[in-house]
Amino acid sequence: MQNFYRLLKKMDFSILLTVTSIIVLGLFVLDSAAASKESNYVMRQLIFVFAGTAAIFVLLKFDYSMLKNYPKELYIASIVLLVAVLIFGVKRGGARGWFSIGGFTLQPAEFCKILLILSYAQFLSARREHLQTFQELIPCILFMVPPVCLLMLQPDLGSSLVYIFIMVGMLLIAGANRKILVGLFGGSTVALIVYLIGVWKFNWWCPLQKYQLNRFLVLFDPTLDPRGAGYNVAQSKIAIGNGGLWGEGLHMGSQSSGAFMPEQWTDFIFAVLSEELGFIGACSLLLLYAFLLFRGLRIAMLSRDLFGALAAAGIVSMYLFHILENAGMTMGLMPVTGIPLPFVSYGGSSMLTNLVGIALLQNIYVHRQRLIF
Amino acid sequence: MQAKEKKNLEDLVRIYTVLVFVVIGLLITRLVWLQLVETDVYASRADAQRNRLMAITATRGDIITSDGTVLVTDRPSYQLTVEYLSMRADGEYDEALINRLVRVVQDPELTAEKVKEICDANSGYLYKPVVLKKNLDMATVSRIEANRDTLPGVSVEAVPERTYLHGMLVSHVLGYIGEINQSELEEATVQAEQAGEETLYKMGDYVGKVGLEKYYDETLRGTDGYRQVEVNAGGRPVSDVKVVEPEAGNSLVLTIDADLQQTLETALDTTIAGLQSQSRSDKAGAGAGVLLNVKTGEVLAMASRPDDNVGQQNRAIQGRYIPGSTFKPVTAVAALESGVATDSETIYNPGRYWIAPFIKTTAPIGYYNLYNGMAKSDNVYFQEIGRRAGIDTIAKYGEALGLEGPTGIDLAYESTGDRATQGLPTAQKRQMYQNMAAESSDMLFDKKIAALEEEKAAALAAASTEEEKKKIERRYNSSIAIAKSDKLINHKWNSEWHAADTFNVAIGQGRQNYTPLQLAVYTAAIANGGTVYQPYVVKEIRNHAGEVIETKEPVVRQEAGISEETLTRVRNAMCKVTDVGGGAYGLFASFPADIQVAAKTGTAQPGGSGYRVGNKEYYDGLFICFAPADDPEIAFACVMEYGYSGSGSAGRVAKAVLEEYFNLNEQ
Repeated sequence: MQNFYRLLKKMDFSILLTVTSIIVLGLFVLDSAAASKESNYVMRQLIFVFAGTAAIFVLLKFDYSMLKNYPKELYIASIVLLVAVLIFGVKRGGARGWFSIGGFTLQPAEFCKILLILSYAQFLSARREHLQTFQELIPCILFMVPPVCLLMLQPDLGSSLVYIFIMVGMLLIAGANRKILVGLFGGSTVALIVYLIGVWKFNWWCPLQKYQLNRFLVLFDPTLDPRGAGYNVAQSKIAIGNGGLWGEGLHMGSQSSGAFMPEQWTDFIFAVLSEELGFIGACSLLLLYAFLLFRGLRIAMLSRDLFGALAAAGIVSMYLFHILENAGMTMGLMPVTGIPLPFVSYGGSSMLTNLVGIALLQNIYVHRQRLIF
Repeated sequence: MQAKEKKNLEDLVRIYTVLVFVVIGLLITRLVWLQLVETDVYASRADAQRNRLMAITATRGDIITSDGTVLVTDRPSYQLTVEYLSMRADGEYDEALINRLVRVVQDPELTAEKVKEICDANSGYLYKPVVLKKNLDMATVSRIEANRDTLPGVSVEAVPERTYLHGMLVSHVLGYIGEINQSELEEATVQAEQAGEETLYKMGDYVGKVGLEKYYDETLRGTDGYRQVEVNAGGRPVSDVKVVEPEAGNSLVLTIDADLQQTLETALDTTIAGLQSQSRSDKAGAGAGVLLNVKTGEVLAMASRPDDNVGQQNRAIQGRYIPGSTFKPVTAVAALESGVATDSETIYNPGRYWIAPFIKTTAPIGYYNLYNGMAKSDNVYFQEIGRRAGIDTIAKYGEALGLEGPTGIDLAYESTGDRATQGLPTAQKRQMYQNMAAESSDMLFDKKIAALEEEKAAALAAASTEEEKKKIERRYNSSIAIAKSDKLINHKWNSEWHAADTFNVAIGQGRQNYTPLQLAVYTAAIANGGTVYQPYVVKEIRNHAGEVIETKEPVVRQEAGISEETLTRVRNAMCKVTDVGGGAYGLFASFPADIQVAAKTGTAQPGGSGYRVGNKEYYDGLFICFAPADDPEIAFACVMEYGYSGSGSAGRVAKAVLEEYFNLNEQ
């Protein structure tokens, strides 16, 4: 117990405080965003907050480095989960991505992020000296192909993008050849944009359904698809703009209480927050995130080994992309995908995964030096 | 970790930190743009999609006759409405509810499919009740009310509906209402903008289209109220923000008397029916009559035929008719007032006028002065005094008596008569007409000359020998020269006013035409000593509570400036028309001696295509009169298209109306 107490004392309390602030802020907004719902979303969300918080402390006892020994197991576990959900999962919003267990639904795509981050951290850590040539990088990219493909089968485009972004973030920290990284991923991003413009303007061939395609195309033309993707973004922009500097006040946002945005307690909760708490609230949230991310990167830097550094970088990448994609989508900067805003969006799997991420960061941090008893 | 690796890691984390900084910075920049720069744009959009206004139509004002008969009112009409959301809970139609509703309504046309169809068509406006059926009868209303408990979301709403309580009575004056069209809306918006006011009209509004309904639309319509509803994304009402009750429109009290109006309309109908049965007037069917109070200009009755549908024009203010002999009092005033003739001077009538075009008269050969000339309507007498007075003098007194320009009555679309072929032949009108006639004559000859030139060129081209060519030249050149001189002659002829034109005008023919209302106004001016009143139909405006908020006073448009002496003589001459030997003798024979009627009949020869069928010639019958002659109260003018004679058509209508006015038919 003495030992555990010493571990506790070594935790990064500023991260705990930041995450607590974000979660509390999120619960207030959730209360407002889900006001029209019959079941109590705040209470349900709290269950996962407590479960996740407990995980932070329980997991603290175990040294993260023991996970180094199971990269294959972690990888196989996540592939199994992703395959299983395609077979046994239930559909929600057109994607087969949820297990339904006793009143709750769990989304394996969320938990698998952590499993894959850990597996990938060890995978890269073992190849730390061999990440400079194209040939050496090919297996590192192939690593993520099976999970991304499985996600696309659901289909869950948003999570696939998260996985890809995590991979890029971790490769960067692993010291992979930056020219190749930038060339490959910067190049494919540009190529994707050019391709989309081609599809949009010149009707190029495209495997996506029209509604999926429109989630991208609204970036170029917000008036496109005014009843589908265009509608959602137009409404969330109105909500955010309507918030102004100080916001309309909790429960007072006309866009939010009028349910003009779909899934406003998950995907579009940032718009609710921005409308009701205004620029002050939304900017504060983004600054809290920024602080969390900087602290996460600091942990990566202070980690006692590359495995820890890469795991921390993976967690940070996961948060960063979620924030960019979710907030960016509501403001018309990113394509429309259904991925949650960390610690704020309603969703047990996401809350739990994000808190486990914090647990991992704290674990890496407290074990940055070998404890001397 | 080795030190080198550590250092490397630190550099990489620093790069990553910059990336985080960029991403968060990008998001905050976007927030600044949306929430601080463009916030007004988005706030107003949020407002616009949140608030919906549902108009509550104001009750339109009544229109009431001077004796208190309500002609037009807004009666509640019941309509069946349902709330879309109660019909369609959870995205599925509630079949049981719809079937119950259909059974209760018992309308074979309103099937369950129809209900769903109507609901679907209105699914874009969930906050609005869906109207399933209008004009419910009372039995249906009570059936629905009796089943209220089993029909959630169904209601019976009362909406004002314009109701014309006396059918087509006064229909031309009342006009009608209809949904505002795009051009009316634009016009109203432009007018409101010019006046710096907000427009009263919006798409879907009902507005007056013609008649009083149009002229007094702003008075009658009141101010619509509205219900401001806050709605959510699906258009589902979230809450009533506020309700502004409508303000009922004001009512109009007319100068028109219901009994007089009814008499006039009946007389028009019976007279027309009588005329139609006679061969010489079998085309009769249209006409109009106006009864005025000569001391105020109040319209006591006004009717127009046909009235088979509301779209028919009001001929009393829109029909223009050649006046025929009903114009002769103007010629008389012009001659007497300018001193070119006296009332007692006699002029010999040899059967037709002695100056070309020798227009004949129906009056017996003999000597005529003003009195028997008027009584027998002697064309020779009036041509002669008209010649002496001259066209300018005639036009001057015609204008003084109110025959030029619109009367200014408070009804929409009065004929203005400002075209070259309309109204009085004043100097200006004559010039307009001459320009027009000369131009069209020139065009005709130019065409003819051009055709000749063309013919000539073709003939020349076909000619083979010089000899032939010369022949052709000679032949065509002479035809062309003739045409050119014809053009000049015709141009000159059309550019001038001729003596014959004056003769025609003097007897009420030629290029002149007036509305029945103008004739009534001029008759009233002769009767009342020369005051030209602006006729009016509305004498009072009352608010919804029945309080008088505006009383219209008579408006004098102009004083004719004619001596009482002249007017008295003309009035006396008009009295002779109804006397023994006069053109309308017998018509008012049953009237008591103290109610003498002064009148003038007219038979116009419009000569248009419709008026000559084979050898048969048709005439319009006209009649003007005022009474009592010694202290005139009323003036009446009536035109009966294809009526053949004045006294035999319009005169009969006059008799019926005057009998009613003086209560002579009760005895």
